[in-house]
Amino acid sequence: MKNFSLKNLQIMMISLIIVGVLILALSGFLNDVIGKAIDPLVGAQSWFATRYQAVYDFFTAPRDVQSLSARNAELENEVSQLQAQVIQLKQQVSQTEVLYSLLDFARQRPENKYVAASVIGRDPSPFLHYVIIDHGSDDGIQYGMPVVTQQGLVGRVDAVTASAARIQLITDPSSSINIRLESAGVEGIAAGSVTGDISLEMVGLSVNLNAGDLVLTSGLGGDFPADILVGQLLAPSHEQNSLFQSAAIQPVVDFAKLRAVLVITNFTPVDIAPLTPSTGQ
Amino acid sequence: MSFFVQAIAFFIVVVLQLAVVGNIPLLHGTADILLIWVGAWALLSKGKGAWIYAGVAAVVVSYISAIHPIVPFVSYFFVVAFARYFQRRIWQSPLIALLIICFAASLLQSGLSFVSLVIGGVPLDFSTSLVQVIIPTLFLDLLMALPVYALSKDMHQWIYPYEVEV
Repeated sequence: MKNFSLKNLQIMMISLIIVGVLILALSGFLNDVIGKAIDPLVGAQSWFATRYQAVYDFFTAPRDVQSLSARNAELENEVSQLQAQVIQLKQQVSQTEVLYSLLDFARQRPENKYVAASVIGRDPSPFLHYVIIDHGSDDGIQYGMPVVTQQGLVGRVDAVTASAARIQLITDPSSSINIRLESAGVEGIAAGSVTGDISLEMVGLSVNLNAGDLVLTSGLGGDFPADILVGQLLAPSHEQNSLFQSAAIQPVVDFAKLRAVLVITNFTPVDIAPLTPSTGQ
Repeated sequence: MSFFVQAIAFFIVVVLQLAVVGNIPLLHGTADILLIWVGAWALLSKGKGAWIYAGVAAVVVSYISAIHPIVPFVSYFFVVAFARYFQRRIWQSPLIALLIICFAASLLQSGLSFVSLVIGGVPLDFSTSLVQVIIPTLFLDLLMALPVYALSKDMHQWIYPYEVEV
């Protein structure tokens, strides 16, 4: 009984000490003591972990570089593929924009029927300003039909095959079209040149020409429908002793970047050659 | 086999001329790689193939271009005739011969084009045509002669491998 009591007393004392230490620890009174006891352990653990990581990196790094370089090549390949896709999409967008603008132009003039065509080549002779389009007589294109873009007049059909046609641009040196100046209300001729410049001709000295005047087709001669925009007047001038004034015309169409055109298929040009008196008569 | 290769090469040159080279002007002149190709082929080959090449090229250009047909016919046959003349004279330096041929043929073609257009009633100013079209065209033709000659030589060697003396 006496031994039992002593043993119980020891257990009780130890339990009380443990409970007391726990209460002190939980209540924060032992933080400093615990910190000082754990710090060396943490320091040792940190030192060991750092060295271990360094050794691990040393042995595993080459394998990572290989996998990273493989991944890098894979990503670079993917980037180049995506860049190619972006370029393709940009081209499609620009083509679509051109087609939409052509469509808008066609909708604004519902009285005309159009055939849209792509420019696929240029005349090999540098003296001439002709382009080749990818539509021909199979699509209803005939000789002499006017060709336009959403900006304005391009030219006329000069030769046709079943699947292609050759267009004489208004900048060609042998091209001359009857035009009308919108604000001045007078008519004249727009002639092309070997350099691709268009000049205004056959306008009398009494007419007051102003830079910026809009130049439209007059419809005279029956080659083109009336009121198609040709360009804008630039720097009018008249030389002494000349019978007519002259001026450069800035075309509205950028002929260097001509990609797609519209052929007006319901306009039949009038051939007035039989009515023109020949010089021999 | 050689006929098909030549036909394909000819087709590619025509397409390049119409779609690419014609869109790369210097001032207002453009190179004629078909003319250079025919000249280079005439310098490299010895049979009648070059004459056939010239005939086909002249027919194709006459069909495509709005220029008077006499211009390509005279130009392309002239370039072959001139090349054959040089082949007999200074055959050891074909590149120099090609440059001389290109110069002469380009000048002839431009001159004939100018004359045919003026006769046809097109109002062309000679000095403007000379400065803006003829001289730039000459320069571009000479510039294009080097790569075109290299390509035609490689193709000729591929079709007709040179004999090696043992």
